[in-house]
Amino acid sequence: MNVAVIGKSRINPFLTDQLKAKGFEAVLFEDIDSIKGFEGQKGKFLIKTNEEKIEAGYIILTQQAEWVSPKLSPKLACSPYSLLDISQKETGDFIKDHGRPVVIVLDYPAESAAVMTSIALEKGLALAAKKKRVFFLARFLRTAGEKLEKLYREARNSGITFIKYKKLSFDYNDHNGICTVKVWDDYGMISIDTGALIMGDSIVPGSKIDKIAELMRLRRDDTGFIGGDNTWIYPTSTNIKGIYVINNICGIPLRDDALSQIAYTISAIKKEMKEPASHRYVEVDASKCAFCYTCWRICPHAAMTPDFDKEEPVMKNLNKACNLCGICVSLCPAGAITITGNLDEKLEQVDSLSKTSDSKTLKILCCEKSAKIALDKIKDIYSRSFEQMDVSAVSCGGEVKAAKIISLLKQYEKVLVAVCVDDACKHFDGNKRAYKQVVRVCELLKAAGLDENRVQYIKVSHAMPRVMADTISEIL
Amino acid sequence: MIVAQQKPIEEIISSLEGYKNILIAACGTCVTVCMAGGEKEAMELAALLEVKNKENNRPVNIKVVTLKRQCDMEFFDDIADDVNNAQVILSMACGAGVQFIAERFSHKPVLPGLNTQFMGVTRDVGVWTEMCQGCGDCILEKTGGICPVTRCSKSNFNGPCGGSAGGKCEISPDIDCGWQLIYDRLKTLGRLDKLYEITEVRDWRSSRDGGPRKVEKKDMML
Repeated sequence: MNVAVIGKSRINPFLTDQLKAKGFEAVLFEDIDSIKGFEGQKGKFLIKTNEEKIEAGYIILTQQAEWVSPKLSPKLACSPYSLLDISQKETGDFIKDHGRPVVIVLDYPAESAAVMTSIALEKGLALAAKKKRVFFLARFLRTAGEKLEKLYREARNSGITFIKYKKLSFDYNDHNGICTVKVWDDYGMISIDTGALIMGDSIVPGSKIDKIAELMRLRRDDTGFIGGDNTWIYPTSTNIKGIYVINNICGIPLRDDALSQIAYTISAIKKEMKEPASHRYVEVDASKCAFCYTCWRICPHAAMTPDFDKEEPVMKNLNKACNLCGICVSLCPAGAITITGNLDEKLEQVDSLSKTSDSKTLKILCCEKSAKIALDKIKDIYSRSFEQMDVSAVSCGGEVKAAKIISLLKQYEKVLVAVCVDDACKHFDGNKRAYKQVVRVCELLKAAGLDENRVQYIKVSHAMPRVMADTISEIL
Repeated sequence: MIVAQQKPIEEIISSLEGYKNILIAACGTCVTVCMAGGEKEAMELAALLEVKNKENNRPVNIKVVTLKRQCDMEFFDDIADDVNNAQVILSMACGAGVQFIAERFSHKPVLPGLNTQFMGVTRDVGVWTEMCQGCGDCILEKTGGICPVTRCSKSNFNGPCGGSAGGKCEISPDIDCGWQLIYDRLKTLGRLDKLYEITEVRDWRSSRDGGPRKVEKKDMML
C-alpha cells in the first residue's frame, strides 16, 4: 500500500522510515507545485504530476506551517531574537549584557501554540540553570498536557518570573544598546532593562497550503490551517478520510510533538484500513440529478464527484470518503439523493415511552451524537413528559429535510430539532444546515398564517441534559 | 440558466383559494438548479398546504409531479392523467414553462409558482447574479466578455456614466460598475484599444423591443 508524503519538511526522512517499518511504501512529493491533479478516495487516491499518475492509498501532508520571525516597530533599532533561531543556539551565546535579565515574550492574541510554549520554557530553564535571571511574559500561557505542565512547574521552581500581561511596550537606548520592556498587568507596571529580548515567532499556514487545500478540497479553520478546532478532528486528521496533516513547523528539528503525531497518524491509517464498509450507502438517482454541483459544494467530506462516464454526466458518491451525514440528501435541489436505510425509515423507528397509541404533542428530531445522549440521561426523571413525545435520532442535524419537518406537523402539534453545538458537529456544518432549514420552515409557516413557534431549534452537547429538559418543559 | 424565485407564499396560497384538487408541477432543470421550483421546493409547498388545510379542516388533494423540463411538449405526455384529475395546475417552472403547460392543457387553469428573474449564473451556493438580457445582438467581443447591456445599469455602450465611483454603480454599493469591470478586463487582456472603437447607436429590434421573437433553424426544418 502506497502512502503519499506531500511537502518539504525535515520530518520526511523519519516519516518515510517509519512508514516502511510499518509495511507501507512511502512515495515522496517534496515539491507541492509539481502536483497538477488529484482525485479518488481513501484506499485509492490518484495524484497527477506532469510526468506521471501515482496511486496512493493514504496521504500525509507535511508542510502545514511556516514560521515568521518576530518584529517590533520599525522605529525601534533593536530587533528581538527569534525564539526558534535561539532554540538552536548555545544557551548564553546571544546575550549582549550578562548583567541584565533575559526577557522571553510569547505575544499571541490567544493561547500560545504548544510547541512554541515548550521551546520557550525549555530555553528559559536552560538559561536559569546557567544562573541567568529570566522574565517570562505571556498574554495567555498554554500549559495543558502532561509535558507542558511538568515543564511549567520546573520553570516556576527554577526561579523564572512569570508575568501574564495586558500590555507591553518596548524602548531602545542607542548609546548603551539596552532594550527596555514595560509590562502592564492587572496590578501595575514594571520596567525591565534587558540584555536579550527573545520573542516567540508567529506560526502561519505555509505558502503552499492554499494550493494543496484547494486541490484536495481540504477544510481549513479560521486561522488558515488545515484541520482545525473541531472536537471530531483528531490530532492529525482532516475533513477527508485518508488524508492527514502533520502539524510541523517547517525547518526546525524533529521534536517530541512531531514524533507523536507521526506515530499517531500511522496508527490512524492502520485503523482506517481495517474499517469495515458500511451496509448503508448514498445513491444518486441519475434520472433526477440536475448535475448542479450543489452536493459537491456542500459535502463537508468532499465525498461527491462528477461521473462523466455515464451517458449523461451525473454526480456520484465516493463511498469510502462518505460519512453518511445526509446533508446532501436533505439539500439536493432535485431530491435525487437517498441513503439506503434513510431518514424516512429511521423516523418510523420511533423511540416512544408511552404505552398508549394516542397521538403525541411533540416530535423531537435529535442528533445521535449529542441531543439523543442528553435525552437518554433524563428519560427516567422526566418520564411524564416523555409520554407526550416521540423521539427520533438522526445521524446529523443536516440530514433533516424542511419538507419532512412540515409534514410532521400533520401528526404532531410541535417539532423540536435538537443538534450539536458549533465546533462540535462531526460534519462541521450539519447543525448550521439544520438551523437554516428550521428558519425556512418557520418563515413558510408564518407566511401561510400558521404558528411559527410550532417548530423549534436547539443546540446542545451530550453533556447538557438539563438544558434539554428545560427546553422540553417550556415547549410542552 | 434561467434564474427565478418562489413567489411569496401568501400570494400562492391566495391564488389556490377554493381549489380542492391541486397538481403541483415542479421542473427539473433551471429552477431546480436555482432552488426555486424543483422537487425539493414543491414537496415543501405541498407539505405546507396540507398542514394548512388540516388546520382549516378543508380536505384538499395535492399531487406533486416533477417534469424534467416544461419547455418541450413531449414532457407533458406523462402527466396528462394527473392533469385530468386536477382542478388547477400550479406550475413551478419559469415563465416559459408555465405558459407552455397552459398552452398544452388549455382547458385547465394554470397558476405560476415563481417570479422569473433573469438569465444568470451561480456565484456560490444559494447565490445567483444576472448576466444576460437576451438582447439578440451580442457585443461581448468588444467589451472583453462583460456585457454592457446587462452589467451596466443604464446599458451604456461607450463607457461609464458620471455616477461610477470606486468601481461601484450609483444605484447601489452592492452593484459593480459594469464599465469598471469592462475596463479592468480589457486591461488584463492588453486590449484597452477596444475602448477607442465607438459602438454606434443600436437597432433594438433584435431585442424584445422588436416584438416577441422567434428563432428558426432552417437546416433542421423540412
